[in-house]
Amino acid sequence: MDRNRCILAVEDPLSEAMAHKLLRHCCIVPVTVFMGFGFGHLKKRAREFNKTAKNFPVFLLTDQDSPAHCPPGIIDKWLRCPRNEGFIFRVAVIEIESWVMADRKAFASFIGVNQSKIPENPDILEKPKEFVLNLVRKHGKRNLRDPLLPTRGSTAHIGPEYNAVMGEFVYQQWDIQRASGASPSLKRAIFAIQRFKSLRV
Amino acid sequence: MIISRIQLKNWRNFRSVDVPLQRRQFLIGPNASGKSNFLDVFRFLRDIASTEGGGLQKSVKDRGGVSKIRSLAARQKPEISIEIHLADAPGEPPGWRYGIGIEQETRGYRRTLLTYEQVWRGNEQLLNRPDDKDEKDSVRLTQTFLEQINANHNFREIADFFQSVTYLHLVPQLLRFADSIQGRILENDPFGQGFLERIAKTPEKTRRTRLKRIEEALKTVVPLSKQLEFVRDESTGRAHLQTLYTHWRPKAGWQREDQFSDGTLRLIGVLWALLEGKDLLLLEEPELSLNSGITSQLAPLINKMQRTQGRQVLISTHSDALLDESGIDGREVLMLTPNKEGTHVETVSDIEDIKALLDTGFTVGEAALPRTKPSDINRLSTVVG
Repeated sequence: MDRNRCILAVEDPLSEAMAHKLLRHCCIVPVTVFMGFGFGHLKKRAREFNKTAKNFPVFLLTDQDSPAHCPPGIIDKWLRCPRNEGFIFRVAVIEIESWVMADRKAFASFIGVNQSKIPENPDILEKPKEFVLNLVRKHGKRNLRDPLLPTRGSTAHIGPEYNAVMGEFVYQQWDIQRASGASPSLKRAIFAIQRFKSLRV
Repeated sequence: MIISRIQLKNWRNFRSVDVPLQRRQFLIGPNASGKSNFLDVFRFLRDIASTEGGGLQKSVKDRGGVSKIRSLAARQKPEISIEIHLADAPGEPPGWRYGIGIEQETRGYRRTLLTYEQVWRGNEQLLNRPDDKDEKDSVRLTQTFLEQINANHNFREIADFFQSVTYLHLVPQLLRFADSIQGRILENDPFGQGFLERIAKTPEKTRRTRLKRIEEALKTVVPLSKQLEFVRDESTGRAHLQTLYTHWRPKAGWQREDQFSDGTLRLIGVLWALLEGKDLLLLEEPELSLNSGITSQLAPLINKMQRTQGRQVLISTHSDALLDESGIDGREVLMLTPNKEGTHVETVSDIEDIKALLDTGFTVGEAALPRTKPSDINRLSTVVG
């Protein structure tokens, strides 16, 4: 199996940005990106991805969403069979935003808040996305409110440019070394990708 | 007869292409990757073979000259070449092969000249130019034998085939406002302005059968539509289509084409084209203005309509819904990938990761389309670089 390339499956552009940084760090090039089909679709197709991974590596990144679901439980529930070795299935604890915030220094300066406002281990937050939105709402830079926050009464949970702006931050400023120091779940994910990469067939 | 394989050198976006074609073939790729330019090869051959004012010189001139149709990626060998295999079915050995090479004179009048023209029937070569006469009289190289009735009698069959290639990119507004716009209709009417007159010229019995079949198809996809009819306006003599919609006033439900939705008009155009002839049909983005629910039924619908005439169809598309259909074979989809060295064309089932996805039950839409979307893969390298 060629361990320099993979198929990437993610839910949204922010997870895609994050996955690109992780893969790049481990020198793996995603050749095909599954994105925009939605969370339900990833779940529905997880078993097929597992089969695909017998012939071509697949990296799937999803959110834990609630502390009630444990990551190994999610994987078992989605796959209902053993995971193939070519299938890197990672669950961000609790949402991808925890990993984004884990580079506390860069994220604090991006949002325009004091670093102390961001928990030392963002993995412990129950609702990281809400935490980010509240941080922006209460203390964030004024010019971030319109793109990141939903307008009052909106049925959307995030602002109109949330994914694009946050994704841009991940690409440009987010540092994987700093972030992996704060988030154990991110550190485990990086380790899993590195282990896959270094295994010989 | 269908085109079973195409080889190109230096044609527009493409530096080098060699792909087999199926009876139903989808073309996918990002914007500006050359989908329309790929389809244009077949229109180019049609224009050369056309007995109504066609020919090599005109076809090249209409496209802005050799410099416009030669690939910018072309290097040492500046010649443009096209080779087409014709067979009865995909994958079968070709019954005919036709190939031409074109270049521009480097000095003087800078005419468009043939570098070669070859025809094979099976394994027998019927034509191999330049021949002795061409060597003595270079003016002969400004015309193909394909376009000359006197010279193509041995292979008239392929000249006729190329001539009947149809291209359709129906623009509903042009059809609906044809009277007010009074635009010039381009040769072969690619945008469907003269569509109604084409229907009008069809013998009545054929017309009725085709409209009946289209009506059946429409009923399944356009809610409330009941009946489709061709009528002539008694006072103006103009041709019209009308459909009857289920309505609480039973006699008031008739609507003419100027009241059809864009989607309905395009769909009728596409279905008519599929039933109209037996030879190659080129469809440009048939999904435009169609609801995704209808689009998802297009691929099987095209297949169903093909069954009667066996017409080969090349379809360019961007649509997830169209390709998210498990009945589409990976060999039926060509992916166009642009890069610095010209656009690369390959059958998606030949691409390793896509093949792995298709083999495990993903549809072509899921497995192949993501690659054609603008992705952050490239962006990352420019940003982080």
